[in-house]
Amino acid sequence: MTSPTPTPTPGPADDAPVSSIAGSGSAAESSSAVVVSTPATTPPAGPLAPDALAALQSALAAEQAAVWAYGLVAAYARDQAAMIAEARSGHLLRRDATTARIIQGGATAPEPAAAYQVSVGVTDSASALQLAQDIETDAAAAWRVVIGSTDDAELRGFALTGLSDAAVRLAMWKQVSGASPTTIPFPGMV
Amino acid sequence: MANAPGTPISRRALLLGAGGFGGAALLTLTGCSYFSSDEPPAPTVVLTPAALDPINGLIATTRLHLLRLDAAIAADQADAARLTPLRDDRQAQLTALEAEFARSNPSSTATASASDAVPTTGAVALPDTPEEIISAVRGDAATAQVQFTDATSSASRYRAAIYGSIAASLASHRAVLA
Repeated sequence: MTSPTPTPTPGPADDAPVSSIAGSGSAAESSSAVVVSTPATTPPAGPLAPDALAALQSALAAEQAAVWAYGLVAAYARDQAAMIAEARSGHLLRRDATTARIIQGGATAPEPAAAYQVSVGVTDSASALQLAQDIETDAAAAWRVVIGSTDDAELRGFALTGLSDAAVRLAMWKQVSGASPTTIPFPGMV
Repeated sequence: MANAPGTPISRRALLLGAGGFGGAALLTLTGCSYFSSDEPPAPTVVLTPAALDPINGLIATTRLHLLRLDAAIAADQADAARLTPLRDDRQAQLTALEAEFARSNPSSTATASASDAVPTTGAVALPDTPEEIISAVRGDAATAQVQFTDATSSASRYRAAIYGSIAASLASHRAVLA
């Protein structure tokens, strides 16, 4: 969906403070919307295995693209400003937590691209909502790969939160778009 | 009758004590107790490697929730359109789990297939009101999400990806029912 342009350059830092996001992660039942806390921010010490590192770097790239692409969505789907802000904040938190893990694991975190090529031409609210679904589909796929690339239970848990958050957001965007069905049996499977 | 300190033990008491000790020792050595029969009872349920596969619990939970979703759709026509896609998701997940079980336990597929062993219809107790039914379905999704999340941590990489994906799907089910 969102692929970096051929000449990526470091993008501007986006340090919007966010304290909480909507998503899944916690299975505790609640009468209100599904809410989880901030992603785990205490990466374990020690180097990352090569396959886990590669998967994490891909997931980071997906989160960086999501942060950029939601800016495009926001420009055209103004009626969904609150949902967009919430989703973008979630991806910001996850992007930063993922970056921290990669650095803690002794590797280099790739910088975000200056711009990304999107799968749909965004010209109106409908195409913007389609892009939002594509963003979450990509993020879910990236985090699912992380789960299948490591034996570390803690890292799997971190990735599962990312996968679940993306699945929930995807369902919400489908709901807003009037798509049916709103859920899928295997988020992240492409 | 206890002897006072320093009193010699009588021959009769010594023989009685030695006999009792010897009998107990003999029973212990032969593996018997005063209350046991000659042979230990044969186990009625024998665990096989396929039965020990932790995926069985996930299959059972999914099947149960599928039955409850069917009952909920039948009982709550107003929400049937909302519940039917969720039911389809759970069916697809059950099919995938059973396929994975068959893949890793090829010799026990015939005996362990949950599709054959569990009835597809039956009385499922559900609350009376539509609101309570939706709440029950959402509770089922939460319960299953916990199970699949727990299973994700210790499974093989291949299975962990499947379980994680299903857990994420269940999270989305809870969200659309909220």
